[in-house]
Amino acid sequence: MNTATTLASESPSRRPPGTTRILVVDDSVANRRLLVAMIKEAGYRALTARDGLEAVTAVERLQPDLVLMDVNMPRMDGLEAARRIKQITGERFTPVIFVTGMGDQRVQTDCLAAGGDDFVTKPVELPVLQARVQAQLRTARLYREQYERRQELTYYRDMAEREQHVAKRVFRAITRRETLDAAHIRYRLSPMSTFNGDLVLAATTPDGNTHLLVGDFTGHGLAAAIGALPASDIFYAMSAKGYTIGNIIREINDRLHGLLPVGMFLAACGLEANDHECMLEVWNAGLPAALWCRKALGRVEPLPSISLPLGVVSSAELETAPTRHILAPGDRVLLYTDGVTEAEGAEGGQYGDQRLRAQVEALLGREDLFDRVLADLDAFRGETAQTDDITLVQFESRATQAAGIGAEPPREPTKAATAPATTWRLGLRLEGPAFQRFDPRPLVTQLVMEIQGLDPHKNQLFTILSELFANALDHGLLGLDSGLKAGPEGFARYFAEREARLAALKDGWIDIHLNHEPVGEGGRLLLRVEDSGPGFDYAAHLQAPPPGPEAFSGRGITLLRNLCAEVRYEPPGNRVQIRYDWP
Amino acid sequence: MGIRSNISSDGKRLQIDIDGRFDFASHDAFRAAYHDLDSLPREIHVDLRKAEYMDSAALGMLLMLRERAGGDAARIEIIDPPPAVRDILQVARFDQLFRIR
Repeated sequence: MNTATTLASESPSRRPPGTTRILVVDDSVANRRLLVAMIKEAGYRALTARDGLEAVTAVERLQPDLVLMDVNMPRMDGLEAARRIKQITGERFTPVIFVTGMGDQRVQTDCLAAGGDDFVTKPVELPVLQARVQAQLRTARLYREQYERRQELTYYRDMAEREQHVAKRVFRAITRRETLDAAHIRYRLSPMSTFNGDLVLAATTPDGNTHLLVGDFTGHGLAAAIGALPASDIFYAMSAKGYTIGNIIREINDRLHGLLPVGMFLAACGLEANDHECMLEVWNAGLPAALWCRKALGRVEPLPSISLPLGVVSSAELETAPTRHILAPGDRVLLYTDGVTEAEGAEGGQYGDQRLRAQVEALLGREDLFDRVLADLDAFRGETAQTDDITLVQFESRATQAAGIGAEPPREPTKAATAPATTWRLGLRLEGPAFQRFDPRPLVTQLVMEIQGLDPHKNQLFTILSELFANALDHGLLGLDSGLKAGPEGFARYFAEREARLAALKDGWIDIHLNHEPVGEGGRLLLRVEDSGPGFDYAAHLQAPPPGPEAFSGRGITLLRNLCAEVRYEPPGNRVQIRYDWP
Repeated sequence: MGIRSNISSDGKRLQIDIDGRFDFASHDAFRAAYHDLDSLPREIHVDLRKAEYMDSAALGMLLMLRERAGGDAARIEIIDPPPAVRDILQVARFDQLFRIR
């Protein structure tokens, strides 16, 4: 009994040859002895049982490799025992060979019906028994190998599923932020497998701009999704620091260029929207033309791809430039991946650019445009299986007619803790050509955060610095006239001119100086920006009435006055100092 | 249906003809069209006249061919893409890397 218990703990198919065990079931002592002798003669080990009931117990406890079964026995006959044994062993195939009387065909049929795998007739002869047993053991071995392989596959599949589940949660945490739930962004992502090769990222910059990036990696599934991790990391980190969408796109491009194998890339469209100036900047790199829905004009304008997808060439070689537009209240921009236009229809064909465009045009004035476009796409697809990731995103301008007048600060300072105020100074002088590739705003803001821990004031400070720096560069160094911005087309003209002059800039400098000291419970920050330009008639500017709702310029100073305790220009107007008190 | 390739008798030009769908499933066949050549000829023509469709994986394959042919030094012409395929090349702005005729 002891040996039997040890043996039973082993898996039958793993036993070394020579230890194959055959259970002999017979109520006759003489028959049992005869069969046991033959079994041993054939090189197997023998176990015995005196009736069907004992046989069932023995199979349960000892897991023999094969059963030799008599038919007529007391307590439980061989047929019933075979049925039960088959039930117990289930997928772990254990052959049962019946030992029957000569020529009794009805009994033989019953034996097979009861689950028997073969039979030998009495009187049993050794060579016949040996051949039958060997044949059955061979089948059993094949069966078991297959069973084990299946078990193994199931195990690996379950493991892969669990791993994917964990990875998916991590993936979501990295690529998804709550900004996506902001009211002015609607989106639908339908990945065709667990992992999405499409990407939707959204963030708010320190000065309150919206950053949105919709991307589509080559292929789909995990291989496509993997590049989404560095891309979203860069996107969120740089957006939070106040880098522009152009900087971010170039950085993502360079990272992917170094990371992805040749032939894999990210088709992406990034946009930056500035509610306060109603300005939209779009960088489309390989995504289908975004659709600018100009509600007030009753017109849809495509914003096509202007450069190679990201990751194909380095940023130095990437020929790209943004398109800039003025948003009217209620304007929307629809971004989508080719999974939308190439979606297969229930009645054949693809959804197509034209149908999408026609839908959007027909629904232009409707509040529920996004939902209706999705509904139309769903109706077109019907039950057709998805062949690619499908992503559709809508950005809605938050610009209102009144935007910019009060020039609201981006956000109220929160009450979060800051570091105890200390005294420090920081100065930076940059000369002409540096501005072609360097934007000091994110870096200077970050330095202030590191030194003074003014995180609750970060957005305000970034906005102030942005206004002062933009004035110094655009008007002081580049000599641009805000009057150029008049009218929606003027804005585009203004930026084209700005880029041309910036590229040609050789001389000039801008000084940025910060001076901080503790005052009362908090501190006082003096920020001075001075440029080498000729200055301007600030007195007239300060006395002018606030700009009207239609104005395209002149909001900067109003904004500064709202954010700062004091704004002071010094003659000849090329030098401005602001005071910012906290807490 | 399929991808055929041949080298001109003077050995200076590799011609690859694509017939039917040019997508993910074409990967092995497209690679086989040039993979066994020790060095690629200076001139490569990819004839898309009979291509019915192209996906981003196929764009990727063109980039792999370009890389193999020497990257910026490669002279690859894409010949006669039908309108739907031309659109896809246009959206990806592949005119910056390939000559599209």
